[in-house]
Amino acid sequence: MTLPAIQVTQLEKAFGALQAVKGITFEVAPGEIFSLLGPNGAGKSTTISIISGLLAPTAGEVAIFGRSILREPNAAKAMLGVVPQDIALYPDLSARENLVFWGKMYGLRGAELKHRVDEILAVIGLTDRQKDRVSTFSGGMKRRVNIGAALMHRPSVVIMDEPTVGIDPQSRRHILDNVKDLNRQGMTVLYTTHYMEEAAELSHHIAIMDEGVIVACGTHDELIRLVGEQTRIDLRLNAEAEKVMAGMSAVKGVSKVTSLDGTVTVLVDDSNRVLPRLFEVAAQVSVRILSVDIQEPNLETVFLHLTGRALRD
Amino acid sequence: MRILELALKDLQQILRDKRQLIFLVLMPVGFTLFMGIAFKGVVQKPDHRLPLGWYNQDVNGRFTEMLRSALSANPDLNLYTVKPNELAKARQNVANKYTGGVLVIPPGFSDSLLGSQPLQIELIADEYTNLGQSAYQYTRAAVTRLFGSLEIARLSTEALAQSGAALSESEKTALLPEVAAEAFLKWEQIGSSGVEIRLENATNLPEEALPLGGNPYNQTSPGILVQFTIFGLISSSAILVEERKTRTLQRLFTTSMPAGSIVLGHLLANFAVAFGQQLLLVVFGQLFLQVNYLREPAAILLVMIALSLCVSSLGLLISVLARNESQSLLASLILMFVISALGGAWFPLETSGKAFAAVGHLTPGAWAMDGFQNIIIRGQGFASVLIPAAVLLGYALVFFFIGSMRFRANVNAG
Repeated sequence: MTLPAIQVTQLEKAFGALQAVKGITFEVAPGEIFSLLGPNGAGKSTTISIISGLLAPTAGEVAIFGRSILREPNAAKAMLGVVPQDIALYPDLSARENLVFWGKMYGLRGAELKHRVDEILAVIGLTDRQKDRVSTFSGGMKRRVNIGAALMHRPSVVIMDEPTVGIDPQSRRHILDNVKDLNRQGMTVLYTTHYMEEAAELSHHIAIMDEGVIVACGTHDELIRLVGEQTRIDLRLNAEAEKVMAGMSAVKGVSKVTSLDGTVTVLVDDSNRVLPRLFEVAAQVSVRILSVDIQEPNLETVFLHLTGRALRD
Repeated sequence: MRILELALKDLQQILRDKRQLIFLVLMPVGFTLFMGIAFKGVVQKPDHRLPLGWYNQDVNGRFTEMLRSALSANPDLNLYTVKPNELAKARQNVANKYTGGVLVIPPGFSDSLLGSQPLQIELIADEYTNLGQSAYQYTRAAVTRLFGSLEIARLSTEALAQSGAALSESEKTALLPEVAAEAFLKWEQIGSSGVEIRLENATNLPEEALPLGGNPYNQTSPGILVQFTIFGLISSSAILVEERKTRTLQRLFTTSMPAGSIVLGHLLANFAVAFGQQLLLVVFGQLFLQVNYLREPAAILLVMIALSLCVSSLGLLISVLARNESQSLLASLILMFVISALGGAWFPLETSGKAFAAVGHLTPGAWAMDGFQNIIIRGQGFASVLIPAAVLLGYALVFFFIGSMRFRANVNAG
C-alpha cells in the first residue's frame, strides 16, 4: 500500500480564544498537486505552518510519507521543501550565495551543491543575475529565488504558500509553469492560494477552506458538480444592493444572493429564465442595472454556493 | 557541520558591512589611544628633585661649565636654564616656593677665578625655607668642589715651579685651568669609586607599584577591549532579529536542522566576532602599547574565551527578547554603557570606593577587568584569573539558559 505523501488528521490549532484550524482531515497522494483554496484568514497558512513543522498543533496529526512531523520532525522535514509566503531570503547575500546557504542547510556539499545551484539558477531563470544581491531584485525575481531555495535538496514534497502574491503576470506565469514542471518530475506539491484560476489550472485535487474548516474537497470537476448547473450572474447597480436583495432572493430559480462593493451576485438554475425577473425586481424599487456578467459554474461559484460569500471577501 | 555553516553565514553578513570595521577595529583602537593619553598624567612618576634655576651670564666660561656639570650631576637637583627675560619670573617662583633658588653667574666669572679678585656668584633663595636651605647646601657643595679643584691646581703648579721646572707666569696661568679640570674630574672619580652613602628615595616606587603599573594603556587597553566587545552585541544580536524580520529564521525551522543547532550556530558566530575583536585588540596592545598581555598568555586566553562566551550569550538573550532592531540596538547600547561604566572599563574601580566597586562587580565587565588587570597590572599568575573566568562563565550559562528557553518558547508559539 502506498503511503500518502501528506496525511492530515483531525488537525486543530488555537491561538488563545481564536480557533484558526478546526479539526481538518485530508490526504495528498504522491505525485499530485493539491491546492488549499480559500480567502485570507481561512486557515490555509496556519495549516501549512503546522505541516511544515513551524507550528505545533493544538490537536491532531500530520505525517509526511508516514513520518510524523511531531514525533519524527527531522525525518519528516528532510522530505519537505517549503516555499514560505514571505520572501525568506538574506537580502544582503547574492542569489547564488542564498542558494548555496540553503543547500548547505539541507545537507548538500561540494560538487553536488555546486551542480544543484547551477541547475536551480537555470530553472528559475536567474543564471545571469546570480551574483547580484537579492535586495536589488524585483518582487518576481525574489519569489523565484524563494522557490529555488526550497528545491535545492530535491524534496519529495514541496509546500508552497501563496507563492504568486503581489507579483507581475510574467513572473506569475513563470512560477506556475515551474510548479507544473516540478510535478512532472514526480514531486508532490501542496499549494495554497486564494486565486481560483491558479487552483483550477494546477491542481489534481482542491480543498476549499473557510473559517478553519474544509468545506469541500475533490477534483475540479467534482467540486463544480457540487453547484449542479447553476450559473453565476453579477449585476452592477446604480444604488445600494440591499434594496434589491430581498426581492431577488424570492425569485423562483434563485438559490443564493450576495453583494460586494455595489455588485449583486446571484446563483441561478437557468439564467435565460431568471434574468428578466431580476430586471423586474430592480425596476420595482427604482434601481437601474448598469451591467450584467453571466459566468458558467467555477470554483468561485462553488465557494459562493458553499459559504454564501465570495472568495475575495 | 550545519552549525558551522550557519555561523559562517552570519560572519559573512557581519563582515560584508564595511561599517562594521569602524566599530570592530578602528573605534576601539582610537578610543584606546585617546583614553591612554587622558590617563598619562595618572601614571607619571613624581619628580622629587629640587628645582634650581641656572642663570648664566658667563657664556663659554670654562669654570662656569665645570660648576654647571657638577650641579647637573647631582641626582637630587633639577637644574633648569633661566633665560635673561625669565629672571623676574624665576624670582617670583622662588618667592612662591615653586623652585629652590636661582643661581646667577656673573659675566667673566671664569676669568676672575684666575686672578686675585674672584667674582661672587649669587643664589636667589629664601634662606628661611627648607627649599632655600637645600638649594644653598647643594650649591655650596658644588662651589666648594670647584674652588677646591682650583686650589689644588694652584698648589700643584706652585709645587711644579718650586721643583725646578722653568715655568713663566703666563705658562702657569695657562696650565692652571687644565690642572683644575683634571682635579675636578678626579674628585668625581674618587666619589664614585670610594666609600659612599647610598640614599634610596622612598618615593621612587618600583614600576609595578606605580598607578596602572606605570603604563596608562594597562587601564585603557583592556577597558576599551571590554567596552567594545560588549558593543559587538549590536551586530551580533541584530543578526537574529534580522532573521526573524526576513522570516529566514522561520525558514530555517522548516529544514531538518534542530532548533538547538540553530541557536548554537548563531552563538558560535557571536563568539567568533567577540573573540576575534579581542584578539586584535590584545595584539595591538601588546605590540604597540607595551601592555604585557603575554606575560601569562594562557590566563589572558582564558579570560578572553570566558568574556566572549558571556557576551555572545548576552547577544543571544537580547536578540530573543527584542521585538525589533530598535529594541535590540537600544538594549545593546544601554548594556554597553552600564557594564563599561560600572565594570571599571573607563576608570580603575580601585579609585571609586568600596561601595561602587561592589556594585560594579555585579556586572560581568568588572570581572573581565579583574581578570585582565590581575595579569597586566598586579603581576599575578594563572590562578588569579580562575575566579573572574568562572564568574564570566556563570553569567554566560545564565544568559544562554534564559536565551535558549525563550528561543524555544518563541518557536513553539510560532
